[in-house]
Amino acid sequence: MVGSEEGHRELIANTILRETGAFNVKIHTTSSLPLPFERDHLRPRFDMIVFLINLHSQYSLSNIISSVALMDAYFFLGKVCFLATKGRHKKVQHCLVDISMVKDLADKYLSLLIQAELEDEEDVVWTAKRLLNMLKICAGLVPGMSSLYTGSLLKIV
Amino acid sequence: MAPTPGSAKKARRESISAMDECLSEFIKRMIVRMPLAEVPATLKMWGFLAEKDLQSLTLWKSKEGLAMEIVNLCESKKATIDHAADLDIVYHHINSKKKLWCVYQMSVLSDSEMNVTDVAKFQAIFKKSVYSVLKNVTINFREFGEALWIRIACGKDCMKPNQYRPTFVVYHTQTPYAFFNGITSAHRSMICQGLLLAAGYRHIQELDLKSRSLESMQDMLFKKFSQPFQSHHPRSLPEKSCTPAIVDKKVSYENIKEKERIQHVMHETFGDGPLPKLEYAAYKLETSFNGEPGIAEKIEPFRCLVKFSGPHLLESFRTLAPSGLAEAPLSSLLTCIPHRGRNIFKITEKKQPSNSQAEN
Repeated sequence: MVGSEEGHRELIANTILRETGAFNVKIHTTSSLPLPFERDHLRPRFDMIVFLINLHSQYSLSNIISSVALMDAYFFLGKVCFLATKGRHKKVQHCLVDISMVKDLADKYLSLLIQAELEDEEDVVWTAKRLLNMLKICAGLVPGMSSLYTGSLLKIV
Repeated sequence: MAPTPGSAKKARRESISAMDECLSEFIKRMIVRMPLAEVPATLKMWGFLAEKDLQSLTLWKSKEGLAMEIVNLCESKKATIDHAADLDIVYHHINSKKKLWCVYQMSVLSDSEMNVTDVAKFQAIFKKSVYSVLKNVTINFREFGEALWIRIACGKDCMKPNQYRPTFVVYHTQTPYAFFNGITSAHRSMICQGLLLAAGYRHIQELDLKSRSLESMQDMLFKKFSQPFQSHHPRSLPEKSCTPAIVDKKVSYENIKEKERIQHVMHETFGDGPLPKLEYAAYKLETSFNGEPGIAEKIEPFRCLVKFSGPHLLESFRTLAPSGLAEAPLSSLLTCIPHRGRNIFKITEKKQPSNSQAEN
């Protein structure tokens, strides 16, 4: 999970850990890429990357844009997801980042965009479940579906 | 021919009660304004009513009843406007956080001998200077530790002083700083002149610092708050390691080093202890357009005001970088506030084809 605000990352990480069923999930969180190379040999292969963008903060968007540019093309075959937070109607006047910009970003990298609020418990659980479902597909645990397949669905949509 | 003694007495009694009416209304309004829990403490600090009177007060459910009882007690003790003004000072001293204070700094000592702090002399000179300009003023003094609180209520033209809109001046006798609240432009020069004469200075100017918290402003100006370490000191502070919030083995934090760096930078900039409490910081921009040579001169200078406000501004600056909302190190315009002792800045341009700089 890559995103500038630690609080959001921890919130989702905690909920994902609670919601996993039969399989093991390991989460790595950071604020920006590239990852420090000291621990490179200890890192496993990543199945999915989630980029968190806070619509109230221009800094988080520019952070993510620079991080995404550093990623290997292998991930963009359906293994990347953008998560935009705090874009609710009531708080629109606080949104410094236009949602259309984030949508363009997701389209450019052919990845899924999820919008969430992360304010009440329900929303967080829903987001975590959705991410988990995507993770299952990316890791190859769902027979008959692969991340490449879901990635190509996006192009049609 | 002469009015009968009975009617003279009656007239006198009427005039006394008429005077007391405004006064009792004033005292009553003051008490009603206070929160019920604070009333006993405030009255005790005031010191006008005796202990047994205070104990006899029953804390009524309604403040009106309590206020009436206190007013009756004051009347029986023949309270004057000075006593009421004293109560006002005590109330405002306890509730100084509710008002916005501005700071004036005096400089250029006119008479070095005047530095001897003789409070009575100061008060006499101040009163004399103010009365020479305006007659219908109520001036009261009260000392709280090192600070001298001055309450000035002025009246327009021939009317009685307006007791509901007083000006407060807090003057620390050992320093050239005076904190003002509720000052009107009409009386500013009169009060400043009185202060200058009484304190023995020649020049007074307003500083660009405004806040609700008197103590924080005093801390900033008298340089009492702990300055952060300079970078040439070796690591004398204990190393604070960043402990991640989630201790589960399944979650690994890749950015621990970055977090530690941010924490170190924040510690260097803001220090460890409590920061002065400011409510806002305003930056006024007066720069001109930096564009093509032909257009730039024709367009008027760009004026804009950027204002940061919040309950405790400096504390929120300190948490900006660790919470991921901004990059560390923060802009020096934000971090220089405690050092410079001001929270209103004016940014203008240097008269050169280079970037704009913060002036003074």
